[in-house]
Amino acid sequence: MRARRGQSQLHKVESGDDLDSRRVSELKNIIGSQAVLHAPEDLMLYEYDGSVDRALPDAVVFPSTTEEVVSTVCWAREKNFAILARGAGTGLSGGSVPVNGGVVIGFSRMKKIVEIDLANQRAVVQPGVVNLDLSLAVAKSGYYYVPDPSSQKACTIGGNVAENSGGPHTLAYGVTTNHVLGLEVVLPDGEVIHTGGKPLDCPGYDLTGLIVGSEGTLGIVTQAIVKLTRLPEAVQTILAIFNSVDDAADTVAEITARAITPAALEMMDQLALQAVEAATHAGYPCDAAAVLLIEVEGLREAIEVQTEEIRDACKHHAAREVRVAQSEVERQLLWAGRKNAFGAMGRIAKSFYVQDGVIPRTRISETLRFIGQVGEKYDLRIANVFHAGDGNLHPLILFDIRDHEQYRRVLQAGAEILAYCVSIGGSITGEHGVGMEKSDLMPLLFTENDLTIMGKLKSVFNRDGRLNPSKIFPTSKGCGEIQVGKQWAART
Amino acid sequence: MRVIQSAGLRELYDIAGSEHVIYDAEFLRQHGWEGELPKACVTPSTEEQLCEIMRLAQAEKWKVAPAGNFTKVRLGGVTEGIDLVISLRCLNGIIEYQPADLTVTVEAGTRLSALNAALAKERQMLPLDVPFTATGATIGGVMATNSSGPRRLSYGSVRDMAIGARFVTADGTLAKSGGKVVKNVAGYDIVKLLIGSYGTLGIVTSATFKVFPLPPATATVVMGFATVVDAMKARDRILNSPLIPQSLDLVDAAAAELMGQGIATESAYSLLAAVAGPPLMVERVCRELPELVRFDGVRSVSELNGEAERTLWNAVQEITPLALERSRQTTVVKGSVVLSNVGNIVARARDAAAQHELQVATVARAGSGTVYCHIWPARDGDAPAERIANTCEIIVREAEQHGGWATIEWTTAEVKSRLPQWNVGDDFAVMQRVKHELDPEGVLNPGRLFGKI
Repeated sequence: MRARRGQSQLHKVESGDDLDSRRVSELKNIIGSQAVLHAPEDLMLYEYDGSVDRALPDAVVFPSTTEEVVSTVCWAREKNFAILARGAGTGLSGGSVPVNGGVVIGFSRMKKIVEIDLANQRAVVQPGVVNLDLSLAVAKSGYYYVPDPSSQKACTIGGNVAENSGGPHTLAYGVTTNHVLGLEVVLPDGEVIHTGGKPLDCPGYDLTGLIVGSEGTLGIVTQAIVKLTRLPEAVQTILAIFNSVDDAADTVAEITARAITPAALEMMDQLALQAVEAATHAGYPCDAAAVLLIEVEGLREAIEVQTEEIRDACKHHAAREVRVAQSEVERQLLWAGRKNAFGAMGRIAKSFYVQDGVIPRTRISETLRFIGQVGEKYDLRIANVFHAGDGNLHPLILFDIRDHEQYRRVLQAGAEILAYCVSIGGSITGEHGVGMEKSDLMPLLFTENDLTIMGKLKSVFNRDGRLNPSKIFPTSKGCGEIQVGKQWAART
Repeated sequence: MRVIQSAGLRELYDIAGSEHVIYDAEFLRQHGWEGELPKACVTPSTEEQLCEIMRLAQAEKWKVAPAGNFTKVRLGGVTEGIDLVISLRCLNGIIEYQPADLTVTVEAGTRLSALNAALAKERQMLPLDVPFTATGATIGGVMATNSSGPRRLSYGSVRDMAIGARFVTADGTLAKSGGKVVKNVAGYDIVKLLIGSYGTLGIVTSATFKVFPLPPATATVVMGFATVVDAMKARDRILNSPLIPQSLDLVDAAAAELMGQGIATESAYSLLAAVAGPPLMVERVCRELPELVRFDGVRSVSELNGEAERTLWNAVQEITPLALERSRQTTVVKGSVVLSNVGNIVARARDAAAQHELQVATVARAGSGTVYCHIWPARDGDAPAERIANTCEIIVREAEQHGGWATIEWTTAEVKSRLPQWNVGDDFAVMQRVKHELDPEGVLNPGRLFGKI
């Protein structure tokens, strides 16, 4: 499933010697021998995430308390090792890949829901808590945690905070940053800070808002205070089937024009449908050009009105069929198809490379046409499964991992699609993060001035760049990282 | 006109044009300017002019206070030794508006009221129902002070709506964060840092927002209670039901009287629930809400529509300026607390004010935990700085005791000087480092932000 990127980016850069046995025993003394991995065969499991980049860590440690995180961080500071946090490794931009080696802090032992405070609609969680587990823990009381990345059965809240993750249901209620109120953060020098809190409007600078989405480059989150939301009274899921991609795209604009904000508004094209149907048998039509999966929720009266409006909008744009899910089972099946769509690509290709570009939601048809042209130009198949309601595309470029020449074309095609998104006023990433994958594309969006100010903020938290190096910032402009390289070379 | 003392001050003319520089800043007194007057007030017409002015300020070692329409000059701490006020009122207009994309980009000096008038033509809105809208609050000022209003319960605050901004830093660098699309995680979210920073990190020149469709129908249910405890019980039941309104405010009788809203003066406390959505839904919620809270000591229920409803919410939105007009001593304490502590703060403020012979009128965002206590002397001519400061401190400590905060938004310079030291969190040093990194010389609004950053 995963491919290697150009070799020059892969091997460890001037990182000096590996972790020797003396250092391994030091680490084991700090957090216990069961909590340190250092054998090459173990480390290989931590060299990748859900994207295409790879790099081996020097060690992986699994602290069980904030104090142990602090000890590890202080140890790494003294020995001048890079450090980075890792949740479930489901990230899609190389955010948790240890570019230059170093110590990975895995959070699989810090997975407690510390507090559920329903009266105040808050939960306090450790970073290793699995996203879906939090919603399941409060579902009986009629609450849920809104952001629902497609990987929510595996991905962790810590990773969500780092990447400012989205998900299909963030269209109406906002992404992770709109649901995180406070953080406990370990800074790379070992300092522990607490930002925000349970109430809104913490006085002073909104450090919580800055740290969410900073891709683990400003601090290591060891606890988060999140908002819980009341489950809606009713939900209606609608599948609209189209013989033309343009009609489906126009329907998205029409729904907005009719002043409806669905809870989710997803689109899949034919290639995606074929893969999804082969994998999930959810009842998606394989011969359709595109489908929209639309969900509205709220009070029954509102839903009835909106469902009718949506049905009308779909018919207006020549939908060949509009199906309303008749049961919770049917609804879950439709969503299973959508949420497992990336995995389903395995049915039709050896590997895939997913992009995360965002465009203004009125420009979907022309962008999908452009993506089609890029596919033809590079002789690649591209499936589209994406959050149409907010213009967040996910073109899945299919390829064969063993074909290096083809892989080179895949990367070119991906970059070309993202450049197009930016050229029509969009962004290179809506929810997956910049990571190491797109750092060199940042100048498409940001000027030197913009990046310099971001670099200044990075230096406030991560002065020597030892925390998650080589992420977000273009490699040519490392903001502290060039310096780190030198230190590394001098490491003894 | 005063004598222009330096070449630097004269240079302002060259940058902004003579009609955009005022050397006699006496007019700022009318807007509540405290302390020494600045040497000049300049209103740049372009981002480039603003950058040049900031570079000039840096060269001249001037301290700078950013402003918009001067509606909130006195909000927050007293600035120290400001040389130059820069008003963004001429950077004013809609840059880009695509109704079908549900986004709008505006210059920071644009009045919120003007923006919403333009959006309303497309049946859309930016649901920031903040105070001082009627008197000219600008987008930049709303962002800098993180102003919010009743509808934050359903739409959030400006941090949830702003998706990108351009800003000028202390050294005159023009930069941006975010973008124009509703979902975007590229780069650090500096927009969040700028919101609520009181212009101490940079001057926002334009911002892009998510906008929302106007709801097809609205109505407001007013429920009266004898005690705040009963009102909070009802509030909990409403929030724990599917019938969550778009706004749910608690007002006490004194606040209702100040606002001239007779409907809420008859009970000691009233819950105002604004409902919005398709007509059938609104009808149902208005019918079921009173039913839902019938065992929570509700004394009276009435429903407002149309003009009466609009008037009520306008008054709630603008109660702070109204209270400031009531007395020169008026002090506004904003509590940010968890939901379960809203009732305590309201009760504590009431008792503390009574004990110190002060009036208090309270409006609370009962579903969000934001409490505004408006305090002024019970007798005209009384100048009770000491007693006001003590009352503020009691409210602040009450909030802090339960993991929340209270800040003194509005008060006199005399009271400000008597307020106790702000209890800062363990992240305060990081905030100071952020300030130092972006504004090493401390040019922007020194002393304005709480904690004297």
